[in-house]
Amino acid sequence: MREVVVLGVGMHKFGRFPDETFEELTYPAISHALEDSGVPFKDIEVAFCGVVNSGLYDSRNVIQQFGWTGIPIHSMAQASGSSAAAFRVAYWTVASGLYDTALIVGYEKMARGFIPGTVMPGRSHLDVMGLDPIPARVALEMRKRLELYEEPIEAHAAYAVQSSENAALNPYAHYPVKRTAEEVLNSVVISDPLRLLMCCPTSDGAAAAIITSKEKAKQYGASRAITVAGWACGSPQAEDLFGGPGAFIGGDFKGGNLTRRMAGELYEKAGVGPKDIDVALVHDPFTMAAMVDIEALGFCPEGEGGRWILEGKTRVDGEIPINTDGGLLCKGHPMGPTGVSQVAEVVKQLRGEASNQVPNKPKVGLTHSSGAGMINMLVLKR
Amino acid sequence: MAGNAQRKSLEPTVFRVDDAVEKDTLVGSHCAKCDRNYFPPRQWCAACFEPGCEEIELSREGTLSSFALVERKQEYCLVEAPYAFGEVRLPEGMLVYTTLNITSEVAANGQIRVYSTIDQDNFNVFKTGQRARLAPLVIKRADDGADIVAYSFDIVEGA
Ligand SMILES: [Zn+2]
Repeated sequence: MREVVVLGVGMHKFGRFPDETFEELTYPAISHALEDSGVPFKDIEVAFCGVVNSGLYDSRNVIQQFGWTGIPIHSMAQASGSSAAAFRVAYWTVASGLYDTALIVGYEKMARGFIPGTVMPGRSHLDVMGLDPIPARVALEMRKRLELYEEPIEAHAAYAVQSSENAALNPYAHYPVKRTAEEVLNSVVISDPLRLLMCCPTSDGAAAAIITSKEKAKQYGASRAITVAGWACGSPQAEDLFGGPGAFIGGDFKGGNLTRRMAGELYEKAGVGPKDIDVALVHDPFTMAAMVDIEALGFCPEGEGGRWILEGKTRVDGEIPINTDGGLLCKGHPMGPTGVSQVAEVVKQLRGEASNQVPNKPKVGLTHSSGAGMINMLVLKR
Repeated sequence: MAGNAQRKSLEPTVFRVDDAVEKDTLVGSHCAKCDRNYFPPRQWCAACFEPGCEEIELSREGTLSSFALVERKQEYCLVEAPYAFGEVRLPEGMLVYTTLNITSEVAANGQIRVYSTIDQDNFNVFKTGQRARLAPLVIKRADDGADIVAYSFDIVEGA
């Protein structure tokens, strides 16, 4: 496998854009990524889309609004991890030498309210019996953390506050609004002990990236290239199933076992350890997920995630800055583009161009995406 | 008499109803090769990657490992909100998502069960580590008059 670099990234603001078409949503993201990379559209050899709720022709239309170049176009749906999966497959095609230059774009328009459950609504007994609301499942795991680790609920509020402060500096965030711990703790109870402001919103939006081989990058803006130093991906194994609700598990928030295993693979491939990571973008649809993630990624001991956050260790100037763009919690979570938006933020951080810049010139960044209980992770290096 | 009304399981692959309520059972599966148990039942063992799991009847009592209050039900849910949602660990090793009840009355050989409405006030009776016992929940009435029954769990008070 040869070395692959990210040359350009672009975003459409996350939020609610009921009047915008998929072409309108993706246009600024893709055109900014092209401009950022210095790659002309005619040089894109293959395109990968990440989207959950799409029509029959959308993936073609969003790419071909820039030209009918005849390239292969793919569409991948993997719930919250759709464009993270699309990025990883695009990476494979370039790393293997099949193509030199690939475009990845995630896009989505979502309904208001909670992300649907894990089964087909109205068709599965789980849904009919009231056993599939994801926030309730998250509330179960949150209660376990509060009791088992004596984790203060204030840690969840502190994480929501930190995320809101990060989002307030991100022009692409859905909710660029600073919140207080009181606001978070006093927000509507969704499923006790889970509060509304401990949950991410559903959003519309788009994010794009352009990757190429290290060799080919010399033709473009190689000096701004960020290297893909390692990757890991996978779905749950039998050992994740035992003692769990089996096929009905809706994510990796039940202890983060899959993330923990994937992290081992990722660090080995990238030749780094958790202490080498200068900035991490982790999957945080709920405050609790951020705690599970930083433990599973080896940034802090198991059960200490909440206290680490309370102590400010995950803030932009902390020991391990996470979700400097506001994370899913406040930047928003449109599912399709969420994964590539994480890559975009890490690329900006490593270039020193982030709107909420991690101090001391970060060199190594990590992205962690979870979708339908499957994980996609990257290590990116300056 | 309601006690003689015909009962049908909402989903017989995971929950079987009997003429006698106390014989209602959750259906799991067992892999003889690696000794693992599953709920919901599966044909292929997730760890041996081969078919041959055998159906088993699961224990009717377990331990409450966590619980949450659901304030608003989803569109197709037939359980009225607010309701208590929980996770029960069975002796066979697996965790089962379930609704939780506070039983106020049981009559006619267990067939007539009256459950208290769950609210913010009585919700605090739930504690992790409590014993929970399988209990039927009539979820709707079929066109032929039969009660369509789903599995649920009661908290065993004072146990
Ligand atoms: Zn087996």
